[in-house]
Amino acid sequence: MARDCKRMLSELSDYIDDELAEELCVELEKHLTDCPNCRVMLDSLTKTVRVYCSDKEERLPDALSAKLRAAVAKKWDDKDSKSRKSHE
Amino acid sequence: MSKETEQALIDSARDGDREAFWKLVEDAAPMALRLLTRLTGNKEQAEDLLSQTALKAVDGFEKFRGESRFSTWMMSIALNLARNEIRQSKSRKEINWDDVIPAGAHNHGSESADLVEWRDPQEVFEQKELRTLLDNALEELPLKYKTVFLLRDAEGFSTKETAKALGLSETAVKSRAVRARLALRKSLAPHFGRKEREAHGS
Ligand SMILES: [Zn+2]
Repeated sequence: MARDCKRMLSELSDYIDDELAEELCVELEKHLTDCPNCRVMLDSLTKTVRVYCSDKEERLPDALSAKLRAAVAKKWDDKDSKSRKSHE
Repeated sequence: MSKETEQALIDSARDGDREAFWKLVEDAAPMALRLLTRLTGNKEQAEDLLSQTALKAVDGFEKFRGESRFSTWMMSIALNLARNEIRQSKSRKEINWDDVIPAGAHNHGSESADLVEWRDPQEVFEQKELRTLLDNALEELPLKYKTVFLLRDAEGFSTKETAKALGLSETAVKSRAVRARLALRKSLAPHFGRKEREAHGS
């Protein structure tokens, strides 16, 4: 990779996050127009992040959820009765 | 869960409402389980760590001051527990910049193998095959980069919440995130690059 491109690498990451300062954005976008290597970097980095954030299970399996709920409830009640005792 | 809903549940739980506390745990649990599964690579161990996490959350609830989201706080408990279990792995290794940027070429125009245009990973591979590839690439990341990547990128935490969950500065989070992304990109490039796919098809 050319030295110019190396310098762009950490900026590419900020660019993906939409956290890059405006003037750097302009500079980067200009560089991207002229540099196929950096276009590939941007595209493949974006895909890397995207492919890991897809496919999210939003609920626990029912059995695990029930088990967890019972354990939390028991712990909560134990703690509750202990703290009540210590206040008596 | 919206911040308002979360705050209302936290207030109720502080007043002793067990059900409200459970709702908070239930909301954060799937994320904690994903994180623990990816960190340990073992479903049973991850489930066990999840219940330890939830019990620790009950125990330490007074110490939760609301400076971060409840889920962030639960993730930091989960991560601490996981770290103890997988301490012996190569957690101290660093990612060197020169190892993760495309090689070959200080001269312009020369194309190195990992600078090939990518296909859409989801189109190239079956779900299960893709999962294995992603897990294997992740497996190679040193722990401190892996945790940042999982929170920041896989779970979509902000830089700030990632920093809170891991007890790091935001600068450190950013620096590790860049290296983690570049390292994963490099591991995945041979699979997702156009050339590789054409080779498969022929
Ligand atoms: Zn470039």
